[in-house]
Amino acid sequence: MHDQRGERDGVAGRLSPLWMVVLAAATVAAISMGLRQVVGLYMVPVTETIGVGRTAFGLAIAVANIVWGLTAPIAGAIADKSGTGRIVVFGAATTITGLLVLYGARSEAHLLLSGVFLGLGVAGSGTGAMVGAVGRRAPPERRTQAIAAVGIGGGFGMLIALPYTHLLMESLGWQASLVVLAATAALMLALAVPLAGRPVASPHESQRLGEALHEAARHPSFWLLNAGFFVCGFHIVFYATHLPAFVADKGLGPEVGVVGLALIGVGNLIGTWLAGEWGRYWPQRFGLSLIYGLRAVMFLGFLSLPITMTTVAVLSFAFGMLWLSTVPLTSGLVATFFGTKWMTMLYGIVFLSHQAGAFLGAWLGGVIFDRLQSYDAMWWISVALGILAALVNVPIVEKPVARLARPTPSA
Amino acid sequence: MTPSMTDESTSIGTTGRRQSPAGAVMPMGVRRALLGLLAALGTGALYLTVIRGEALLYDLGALGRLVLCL
Repeated sequence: MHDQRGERDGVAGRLSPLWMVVLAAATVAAISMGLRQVVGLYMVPVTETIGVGRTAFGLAIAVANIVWGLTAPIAGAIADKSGTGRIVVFGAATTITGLLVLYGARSEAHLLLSGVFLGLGVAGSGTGAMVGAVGRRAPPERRTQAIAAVGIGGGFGMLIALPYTHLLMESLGWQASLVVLAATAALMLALAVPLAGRPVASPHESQRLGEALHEAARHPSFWLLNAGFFVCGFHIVFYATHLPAFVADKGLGPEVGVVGLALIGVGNLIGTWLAGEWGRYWPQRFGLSLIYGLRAVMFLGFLSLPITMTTVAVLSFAFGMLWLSTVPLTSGLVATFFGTKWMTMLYGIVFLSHQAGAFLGAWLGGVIFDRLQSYDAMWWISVALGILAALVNVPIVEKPVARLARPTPSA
Repeated sequence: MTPSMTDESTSIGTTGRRQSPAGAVMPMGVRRALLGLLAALGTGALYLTVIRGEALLYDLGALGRLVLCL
C-alpha cells in the first residue's frame, strides 16, 4: 500500500491529535445521524398542528433523502478541497435551519423547505462527510479502523436519539423539543474546530477534481464497488422500512418489531467495529463479499425459518452486524484506489448509488406487498442481490491506481 | 472511540517530523470520561426503549408506510 503521510488535514503546526480528530468526527456523525433519524417522530404532531396531509410530511422526508444523496459528492468535494471543518459548519447551519423551519412550519411548502435543509445538513455532517478527514489523518494500515470509529459514532447516535427525543417531545411538547434539537445541532459548530484546516496533498496526489472524476469513471473496480453499495442500500432500507409490517403480518406483537430494530442498532455497533478490524488484517473486498454473502444467508433464514420472537431477534441482530459495516470497507477501498485527496467526494458518489438502491428497496417492497400480499418475493430478490453483491466484490483490484504507484517526486 | 489507535509512524507534513505517541493516543482521563458518558447514554436509551418501545414504534410506523427511512 502506498504511503500518504504527506497529506494531512490542517495547517502544519496547528494539527489536532489523531484521537481528537476521530472523536470530533464521530461525535459530529452521532449528532447528525441521530437528528435525521428522529424527524419521523414529528409527522403526527406537525401534520395535525398545521392541518396538512401526512403525505406532505412523507414527501419532505423523501426530499431530504434525495438532497442528501445528490449533494453528498458536492459536500465531499468541498470538504476535500477546503477542509472538513467548513463543511461541518455548513452542515450544522443547514440542520439548525431545517429544524427551525419545521418548528415554524405553516404549510406544505415549509415542510418541503425543511426537508431540503435537513438533507443538506446530513450531507455536510453525516458519516460520509467525515471519512476524508479521518482517512487522511490515519495511517493507511489503521484507516478502516479509524473510519469504523466514525461509523460507530453515527450508529450510536441513531441508536440513542429516538428514545431520548420521544421522551423530550412528551415532556416539552414537539415545538420546544425541536428547539432543543437545534441547540444540539449547534454543538457541531464547536466540533468543527478540530476538523478545520485545508488538506495538504502529497506531491503525487496533486490532482484536480475533474481529473479525479475522470480517473474514477474509467476504473472498473470503482464501478464494482458502486454496484455492491447499491445492493447495500436496497437491503437496509427494505429491512428497516418493512420489518415492522412484516412482523405484524406474521401475527407477532409490536414489541417484536421494537426488539428487532433495537438489536439491529446494537449489532450495527459491533459489526462496524469488526469491519474496521477486518480492514487492518485482510483484503477489504473479501470483507465486503463476506458481508453481502452473509446477508443472503440471513434473508434465506426469513424465508425458511418459522418467524417467532426468537428468530426475528437473532436475524435482526445478525443483520445489524452486517448493516453499516460496509461503510469503513467501502470508503477504505476508495482511498486504496485513488488516495485520500478526493476521498470524501468519491465516497459521496458511491453513496449516491447506495441511496438509489435504498429508494428502490423501499419502493419495490411496498409495490410487491401490495400486489402479492406477501414479502416472500422481496426476500428472494434480496437473497439474489446479496449473492450478486458478494460476487461483484471478488474481482475488485485492491491496489492504488498507477498515478499513486509511481515513485514520489523528491520532497 | 478507538482506544487501541496508537501509531507511532504518524508523521506531519513532508518534513518527516514524527508526531509523538502521546498525540495519537487518547489520554486515559478522556477515555474514561468518554466511556462513562457513552455507558450512561446507552443505558438510558435502552431503559427508555424498553418502557416506551411500543409507543415509539407506533409513531415511527405511520411514517414507515409512507416513505423510506434508512
